[in-house]
Amino acid sequence: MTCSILRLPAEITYRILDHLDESTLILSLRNVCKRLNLILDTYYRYQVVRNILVDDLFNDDVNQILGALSKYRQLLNIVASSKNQQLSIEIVNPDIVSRLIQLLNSEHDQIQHDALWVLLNMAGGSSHHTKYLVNAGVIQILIELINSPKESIQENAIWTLSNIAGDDCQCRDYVLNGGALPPLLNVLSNSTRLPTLQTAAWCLLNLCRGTSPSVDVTKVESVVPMLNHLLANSDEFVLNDICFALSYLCQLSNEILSAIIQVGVIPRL
Amino acid sequence: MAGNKIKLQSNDGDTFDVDVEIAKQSATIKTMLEDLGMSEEDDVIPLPNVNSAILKKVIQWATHHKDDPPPPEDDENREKNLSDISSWDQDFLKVDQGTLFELILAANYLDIKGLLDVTCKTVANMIKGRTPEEIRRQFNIKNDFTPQEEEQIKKENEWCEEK
Repeated sequence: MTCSILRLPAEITYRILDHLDESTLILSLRNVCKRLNLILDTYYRYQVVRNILVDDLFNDDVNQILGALSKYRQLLNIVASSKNQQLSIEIVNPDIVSRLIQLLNSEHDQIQHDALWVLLNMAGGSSHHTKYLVNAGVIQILIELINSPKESIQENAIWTLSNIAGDDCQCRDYVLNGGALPPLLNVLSNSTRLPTLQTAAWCLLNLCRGTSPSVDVTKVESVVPMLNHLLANSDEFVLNDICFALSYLCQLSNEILSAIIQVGVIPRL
Repeated sequence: MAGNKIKLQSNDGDTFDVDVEIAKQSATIKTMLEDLGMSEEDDVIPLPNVNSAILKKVIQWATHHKDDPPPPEDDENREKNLSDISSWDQDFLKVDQGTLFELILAANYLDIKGLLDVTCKTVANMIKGRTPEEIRRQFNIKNDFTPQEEEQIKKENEWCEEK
């Protein structure tokens, strides 16, 4: 059988593409046939990340950073929906993650907001991405952001932490050990903003759930004195998550079970 | 030692005597020789992924380029300059497409960077500046998109052009 361009492995085709200009890649080669289209998809987006996007993200210019953040978020969405494992590994790398974390401390509101939004998407993606974030030290900064005076930042920080904690029991413990619970309970008792409360209740649930291993009871017993207050909430979603969290707590030990009964939650339940 | 020869065997059974120094342009063979200690004259190195005709071409290329300086390692700065193919290489690569692609596969398998580079550039030259229809004709590719898919591609292209 004769060998044709369509029978070359993708990584060799990439080497050919390396020698071509963008307009040939996008306007011609991408439209030739399905296989080349697929290869171009992977290659082109990979290139975008490697060159254009990454350069902009590391730039000092506010607009360039914002543009890069918005493209990067689109890209994550495309990757998430395409289920292309290789691509998802390529576009999330330690340099980008540490830059995003750095941008969380930006003085510029929109940059801080968009960087957090990207991290939130990442944490909600594959386990592989979540691990990257955890290893890069994102948890500590997110916990600090729970205290942010900006409501959307506060909510999205909690959301991201909840995504991370929901990944597996190990991640859950990282979030707990980082000290997320006190500021989270603080939000649950003081915030009057419903979306924030709902997200916080969901995060609390993720911090209590999981059985392999179950959560260390001493890490979460501070929830008990707050239960009456939490259950007084009237929102269906908040209540639902709190009740779920409560059911996980009850299973942890007899001591915590009797403590829960003692604070008098049963009539309300 | 200079002048040492080794035997390379293609997947269809032919063996070729080649100077060790020439064969070592293939990082794959170099590794075999150095790591496995295959330096005895009687040793035959089997190359199950390469047939005689292609192996012959590869050896011809490697013999011509035996005194070239080693290619730069830095892949990031690979240039898009397509005109720097030497006239010897241009003549050498005046072959049918099947052979050209098999040379690429062989260069990749044998890990001969210079040959891989020049063959890939040659293919890139056949693509550059052409319309999709011209590329299909050039490589005998069938358009397997439905009209809906073609429409979809146009839409998808928009996101990367947005600035």
